[in-house]
Amino acid sequence: MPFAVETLMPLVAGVPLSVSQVVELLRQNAIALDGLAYRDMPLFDSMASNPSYDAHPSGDFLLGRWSLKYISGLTSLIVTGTASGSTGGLSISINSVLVASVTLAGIWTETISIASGYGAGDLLLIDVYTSGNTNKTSKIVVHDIYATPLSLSGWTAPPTFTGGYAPDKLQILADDCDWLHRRMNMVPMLPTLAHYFRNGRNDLGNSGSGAGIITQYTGSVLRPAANSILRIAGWANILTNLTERIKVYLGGSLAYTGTTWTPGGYEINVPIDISSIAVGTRAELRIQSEVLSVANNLGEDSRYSFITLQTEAGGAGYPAQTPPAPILPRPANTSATTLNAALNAIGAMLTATKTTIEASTAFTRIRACRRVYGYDQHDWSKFTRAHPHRFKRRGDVLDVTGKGPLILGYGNQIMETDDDGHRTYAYTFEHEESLTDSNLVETKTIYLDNFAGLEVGMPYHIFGADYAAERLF
Amino acid sequence: MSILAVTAQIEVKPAGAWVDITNATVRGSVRISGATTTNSDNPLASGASGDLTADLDVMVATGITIASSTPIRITYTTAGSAATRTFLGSVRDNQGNLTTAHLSCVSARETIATTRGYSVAFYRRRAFTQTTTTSQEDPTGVGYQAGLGNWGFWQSGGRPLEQSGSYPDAAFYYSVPQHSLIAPEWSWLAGESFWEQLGLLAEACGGQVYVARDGVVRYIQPLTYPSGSALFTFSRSAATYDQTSSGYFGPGSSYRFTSGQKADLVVCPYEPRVARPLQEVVSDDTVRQVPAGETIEIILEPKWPLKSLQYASGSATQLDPKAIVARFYDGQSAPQGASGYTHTVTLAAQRVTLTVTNASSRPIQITKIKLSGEPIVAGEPSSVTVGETPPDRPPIKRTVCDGNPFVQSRSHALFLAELTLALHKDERMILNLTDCPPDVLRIEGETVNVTCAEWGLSAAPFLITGLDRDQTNGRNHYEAVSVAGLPADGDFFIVGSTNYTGLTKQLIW
Repeated sequence: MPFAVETLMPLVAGVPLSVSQVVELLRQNAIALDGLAYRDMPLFDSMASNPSYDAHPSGDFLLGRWSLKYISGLTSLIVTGTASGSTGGLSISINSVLVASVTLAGIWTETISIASGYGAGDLLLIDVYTSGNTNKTSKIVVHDIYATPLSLSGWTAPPTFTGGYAPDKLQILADDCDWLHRRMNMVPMLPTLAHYFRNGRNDLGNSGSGAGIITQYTGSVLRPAANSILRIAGWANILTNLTERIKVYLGGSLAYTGTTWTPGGYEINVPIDISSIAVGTRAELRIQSEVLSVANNLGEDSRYSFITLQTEAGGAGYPAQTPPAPILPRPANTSATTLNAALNAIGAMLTATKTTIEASTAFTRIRACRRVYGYDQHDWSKFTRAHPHRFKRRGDVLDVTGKGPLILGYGNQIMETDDDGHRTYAYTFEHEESLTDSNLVETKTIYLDNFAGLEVGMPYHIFGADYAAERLF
Repeated sequence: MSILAVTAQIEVKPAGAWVDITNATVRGSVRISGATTTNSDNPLASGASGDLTADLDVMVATGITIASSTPIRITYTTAGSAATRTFLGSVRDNQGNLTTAHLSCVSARETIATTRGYSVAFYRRRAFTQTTTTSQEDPTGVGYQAGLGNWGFWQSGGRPLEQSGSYPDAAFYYSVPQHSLIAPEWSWLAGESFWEQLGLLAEACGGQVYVARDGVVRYIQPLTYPSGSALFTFSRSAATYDQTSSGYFGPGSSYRFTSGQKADLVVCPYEPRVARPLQEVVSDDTVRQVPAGETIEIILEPKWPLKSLQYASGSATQLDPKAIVARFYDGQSAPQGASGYTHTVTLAAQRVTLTVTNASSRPIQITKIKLSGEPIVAGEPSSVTVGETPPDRPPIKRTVCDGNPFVQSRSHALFLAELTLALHKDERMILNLTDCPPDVLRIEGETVNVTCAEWGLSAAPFLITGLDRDQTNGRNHYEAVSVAGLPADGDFFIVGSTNYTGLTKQLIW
């Protein structure tokens, strides 16, 4: 079951006020909504296809592809990022139509009107190319792509209870629960673009004396709420290097240095403080692997997999609000003052949840989903497995667009081996289901309950999607 | 000892109008029996009652055929009182000779028990909703929000008592004075006997559904048992049989306490039900032929009851074209529409009825029907237990609603268990008041006072739970249960306009 936001029975006059069927349901709803307001937010993936953004040809090249599903009311598409050492600018197209030419600066932002020309449900395929680049060492990074504004009418401020329990006043609390649920459902839940079995290094770098450093990941981190933290999870396989570790840079500053590994397999599950980022804003994140010592230069590259790259609610309060205590039913007598306080606390919690989501850009912007692409079918097949869209099921419905074979995989990850029994880094999942009937591009609404055993909280992967996002309902 | 003058008017409706067959035909034998529950050891047990019956010996009414199922009603008038309906039902058996006939009659219960139908699934709707002069009871009416109980009554031919003026020819009337306390997660009817199912529904809400002596089917919620001021008092003091309003009861009256009504611990099992997102709910591979121009009806029964069915995008009535695989005999696909087939869908919770019409001039073969919808699936059964074990003896454990499909959540089970415990934590005095004067105003479900020095009762509140009116000897017999100390509406915060500032009340479970 996803977080349940319960619908109350019709509230009518003349019946005893029920704890279990009214007051407690409202309280539980408020708690669930508070939890939903602290949505896990995947990082905005800025990796280039080859795959590090700071390794590219001197000519123009494709910086990245994203996709976004249009809903009514959106008027602006914002693309923002950073650039250094660059020449020329950027060309941004939507569905292969050039919509913006961007002049690059240290921090650049382009606002593109999408007020017309699109209908609800349309998929916007966004391509960002360099234009006029002549510098092989330029660093051009897209840090965020999102559409605004979002609005939903119908919110009524929770009433204050002073001793009367009219059905219409109680109904406002129930309606506000429903409003918050629908409001949060307006923003799709995007996947993490997972990175499986990325190569590290097997040497100490060109100098032979410094660390053998390679960028494993580049993206941007949103701090959606005050108590949000960054979570990086995956694993590392140190094959032959004697010592090796990872470092995480946040906004250019070192934020985490991993323990030093020796050859072996290691799980990575790192919470990182992001309190240096203002709430509602982003900072660049870079993960590097660093070889510290090697036996010789004939060893094998270490392998890194990053499957969770997201912000989530931190340990300092989750849910962030303190819920009102449950109120006891008969036989304990209750004063009207106590009941008033309980209902007003629920109302206050709903109001605070609304404030939370309005203050967090996690719910005021619809962000673009990173697309995987390849220059040919071989690349495509390789990249869809190396960089699948990875979800942890939170909702009931998956909206997905892609060209067959479009596959949903979940369950145990099964590694393939070659004839000699060596791991090939090719893998499948225990359950893999085709989502399309053909090799054509199809848009599908997938109801996740159709996949036996894919329970809420379990991870699953989509291979080959141009767009994939979950809805709560 | 004189017998009070009571006259009975007996009418039957063999065709479209009521025909009075009284005409001094009553031979002194009219017996009407009913009760609010079938559990004589526990008159407060929730659920459905047994039948209200009437047995009459009458003179043969010349020229009137009284077949089984003929509606019948009996109206009594006690000297000095207004005429009062004392029975409304139908004849089940009519056996007679040249001069007399014996009519065995049953109430609306029989009608409801033999009615079967399929409802949609109601979500968290109170099982029985209050009937008023303005409540929308017609399922096809605008703003229909009545409970499943009301739905069953209506489908059985009943109409709300409070709106009887609008429905003078109703098969029977029903009344719900107050909303049921509980709204099951999901409630639906799927072809079973309505009476049996409405009994389960009443049980799941802790109340009673019964046919009262006036022929009206009632649902009462348990907090009303002790409510209101008693209009009548039964008393042993200075009363005589021939005083109708004296509240006399005879020396053969008795009392009893039964362990069957007591509980220290109450267990309420439940099987969770929850609606799940859209998924395949019907996959039917039966091959069906539809000749050109013909219509066939296809009844499909999904494994789980359905919250909804998925229709074609933008349509509220038409299935997605992929839902029905239909081909002409040459293998060509038969499309929806005039050149292929048309269809209608009737959705009930546990039955989907498709009516498919071949609109073309060629026969069509349907090879597969695949429907998507939101099923209401069952989860892992569980139970709750409330109460305390007494320190000095083993606890009396009572299990309520075992196997009742309408108890579907822990909160519901907890509510019901707590309610049951409150009603049954003490043994209650059950009275059998015999040889009472005829009093057509007394009715099942009525709270009366009882005064009896021998039993230590002084204006003690009792609920009439059974009634036996024997016109043969002019005497009434009552069964009543003590309702002193039971939780009542007034103990609780009530949703509405009352201002409770400065007050302390209870919150119901």
